[in-house]
Amino acid sequence: MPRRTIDLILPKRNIVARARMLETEAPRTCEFIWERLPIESQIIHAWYSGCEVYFHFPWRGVTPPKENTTICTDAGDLFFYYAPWYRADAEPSGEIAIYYDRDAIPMGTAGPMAGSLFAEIFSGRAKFARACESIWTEGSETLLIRRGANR
Amino acid sequence: MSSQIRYCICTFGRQGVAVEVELFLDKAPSSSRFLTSLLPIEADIFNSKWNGAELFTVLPPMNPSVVENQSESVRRGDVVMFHWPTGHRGMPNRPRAGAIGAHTELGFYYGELIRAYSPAGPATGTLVGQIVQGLDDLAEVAQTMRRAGFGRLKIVPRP
Repeated sequence: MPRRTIDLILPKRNIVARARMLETEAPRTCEFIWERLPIESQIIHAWYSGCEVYFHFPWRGVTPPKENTTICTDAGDLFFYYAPWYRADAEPSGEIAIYYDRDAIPMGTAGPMAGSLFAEIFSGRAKFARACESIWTEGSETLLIRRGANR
Repeated sequence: MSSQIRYCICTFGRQGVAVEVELFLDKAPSSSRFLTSLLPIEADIFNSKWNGAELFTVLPPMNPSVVENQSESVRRGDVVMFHWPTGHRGMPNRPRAGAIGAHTELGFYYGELIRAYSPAGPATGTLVGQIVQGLDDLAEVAQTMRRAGFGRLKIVPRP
C-alpha cells in the first residue's frame, strides 16, 4: 500500500519538511487529518514540553479515536490531540504538535499527556528544527500542511 | 555598583514593560551581590520551553556558585537563579552548539502554570528576589511576546 505523505511548509522561510503518515498504526487519525488538508495556521512554540511547536484548529464531526498513543517522542514526530480528551468541557478542537528535536516531554497541566502519534518527518528535519528554534525566539508564524505525493 | 542595591527595574522587550524587583539581601546575599555586580544588564530574553510562564535571560556563571535560599518549587512573581554547567540542554541550540559554557539562568515567573524544570528533570534554583510591582502588566505582555518575539531585557538599579 502506498504511504501517504504530507508537506510541512514554512512559507516565510521557504522551508519544506516531509512526513510520512503512520497509516498502519493510526489509520483513523491519518484519515481524519488527510481529509482536512490543507491546513494553514499560526504555529507557536511550546512553553512546557520542550522542543515542540503546535497549533490548534477547529474540529467538526466525529470524535476522533485515540490511536497509537504515547508520551514518548522522537525528533520529527507529529502528534494529534483532541481538546476534550484532556478537558471535558473544552470546545472540540484539534491540535497538531510537532516535536522537532529530541528534548521534549509532552506535558499538560496534570502531567504527561499522551497523544496519537500519526506521522514522522523523513526529509528536511534539520532545517525545519532550526527554524523552530528561531520561532521560539522570534515569535509565531504561518505553517501550511498539505498533501504530499504518495510514496 | 553597590552591594546594597535592594530594588531593580527590569524592562522587557520591544513593548518596554517594566517591573520592579526586590532582591533578597538577607536570604540570598551572595546571589544578590552577584546580580547587582553585573548591573546594568542588557541581554536577550526568552520564554522557557520547560517552565511555563517564565521569562529568562542568560548571565555569566557565578563563581563559586553558592547554595542559598534554594527551592524546587516556584510561585508567581519569583525571581530565580539556576546555575547550569557547560552543555546544558535547556539552552537554545545555537548557543549550545557554540559552546556557551557554564552560565546562570535568571528567571522571572509571571504566571500560574509554572515549575522549575529542565531536560534533566526537576531543577533547584536560588530564590533571589520577588517582583513587587508590574507583575500583571508583565503577564499580559509576555503572552504577546510569545507570538511576536521577545527582544531584549534591561536591568538597572532603581533610582
